[in-house]
Amino acid sequence: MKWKTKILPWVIPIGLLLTWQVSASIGILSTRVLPNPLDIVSAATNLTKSGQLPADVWTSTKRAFVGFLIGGGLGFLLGLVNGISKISEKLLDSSIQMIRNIPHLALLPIVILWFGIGEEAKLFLVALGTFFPIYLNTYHGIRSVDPSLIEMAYVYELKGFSLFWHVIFPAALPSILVGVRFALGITWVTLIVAETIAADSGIGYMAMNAREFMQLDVVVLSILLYALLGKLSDMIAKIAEKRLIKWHPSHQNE
Amino acid sequence: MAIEQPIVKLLNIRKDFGEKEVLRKIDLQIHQGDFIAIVGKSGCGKSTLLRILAGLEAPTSGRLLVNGEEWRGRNRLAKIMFQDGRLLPWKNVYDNVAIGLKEESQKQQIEQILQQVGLGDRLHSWPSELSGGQKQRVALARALIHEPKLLLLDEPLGALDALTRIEMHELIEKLWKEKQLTAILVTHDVEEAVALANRVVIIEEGRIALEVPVRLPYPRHRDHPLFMKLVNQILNKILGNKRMTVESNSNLPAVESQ
Repeated sequence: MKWKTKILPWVIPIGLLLTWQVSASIGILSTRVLPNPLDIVSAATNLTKSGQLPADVWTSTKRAFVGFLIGGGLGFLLGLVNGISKISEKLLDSSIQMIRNIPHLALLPIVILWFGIGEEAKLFLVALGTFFPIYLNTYHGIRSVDPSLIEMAYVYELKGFSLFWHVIFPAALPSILVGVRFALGITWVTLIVAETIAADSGIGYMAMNAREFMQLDVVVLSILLYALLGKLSDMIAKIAEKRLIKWHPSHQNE
Repeated sequence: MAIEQPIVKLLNIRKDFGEKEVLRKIDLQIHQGDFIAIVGKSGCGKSTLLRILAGLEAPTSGRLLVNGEEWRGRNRLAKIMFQDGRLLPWKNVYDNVAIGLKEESQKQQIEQILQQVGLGDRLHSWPSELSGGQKQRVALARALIHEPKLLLLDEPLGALDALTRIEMHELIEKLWKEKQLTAILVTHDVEEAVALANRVVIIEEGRIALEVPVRLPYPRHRDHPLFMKLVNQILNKILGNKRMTVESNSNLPAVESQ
């Protein structure tokens, strides 16, 4: 029974992969529409040997990481301040909400005009995209801390930083982590668009470059790489969530 | 009973929430070693009275004297145990009890006090893994480790089943005697009040309607004829007045006011 539940989720993906390989080999599926899986694997090995693949993956990962750190960090700090201070909330929140309504990818043309196709353009867009989900979820998490727990803390004389550290922050953490996972998704989408349109390195650039030379296998490889990296960062976030909020009933009995 | 100065004295306490008068004229004296139960229908103001004693609400008028001195703000002598326990779900049992402890010597007593409430083997459990009764034991330990001069119990057993409640009565009675606590219990369970308290205070529409001393020896047996008589007396007092208010309400126009 156990092995069945382990294998079952993989039946359809493996079946599709096999069908793809077989129909490409016997010529039903033209290699101009989709290269067959083995070609993609060999493209990956060749590009790894030449060093281009690791270099581009590293460039993209670095952009994702730094941009996320800047945008997420700022979002977290502002969410924190606005969640705690009424004055700051009145001053900043409505302005932030207004800017939030601009889709950050719509700024791409103006960002290219400002920064050209340099690193700043990508970092700016990723930071802008990740700022809002983390800001909103931090702010909301802090605002919805159960007031009865704050009152309990008042009775037990917790004040200032210890009130924040023992009560407010852990209460807001689940909501903040939802923001983090959301922001990670946005990070990769932003990078795909920015690197495809305006870049001279990175996975997106690799894909566009391959398109010029009709290297369909490299194009498909780039798409798969994005999927893989997105999945990987989501998995890391999930593990972090499990460790950080292991007190939560949804993480027990596991 | 105690003869010295009362440790807490309420003089002519009144509390309004907007238009609504919750407490009208409360005078109450609490002596060292007292166990006072405050009973009454829901909405009679008994929880508000407890919150005023804890310093969580300020009275609209009247005076609160602690050891003979006027008191404003949080009552540092008192620790309150809430109906819902209010444990921090992200801290294990040990850390929940350790909240707000500043001295190392107090921290060393955590295990001992958890043993006293019967949870010596659950130090590292999460609150979500505990039953309702166990959670309230943790909340009780958390209040007791501060050695409060005044232990305030806000319907602490209201959400527990009858068997667990009787166990908790025994535990509270034992700790009250051992630690020579002064306790105030707010409850709607008259039997609970008579089982634990040496004085039962009945509150009705924001006033103290009756104070009943309970002179039965501890531990109290529920089948003792005097026990049953007292319970019935108090119940009749509360319910009898309810019947009257129902009648007088029926003369009012059929408009519900909040």
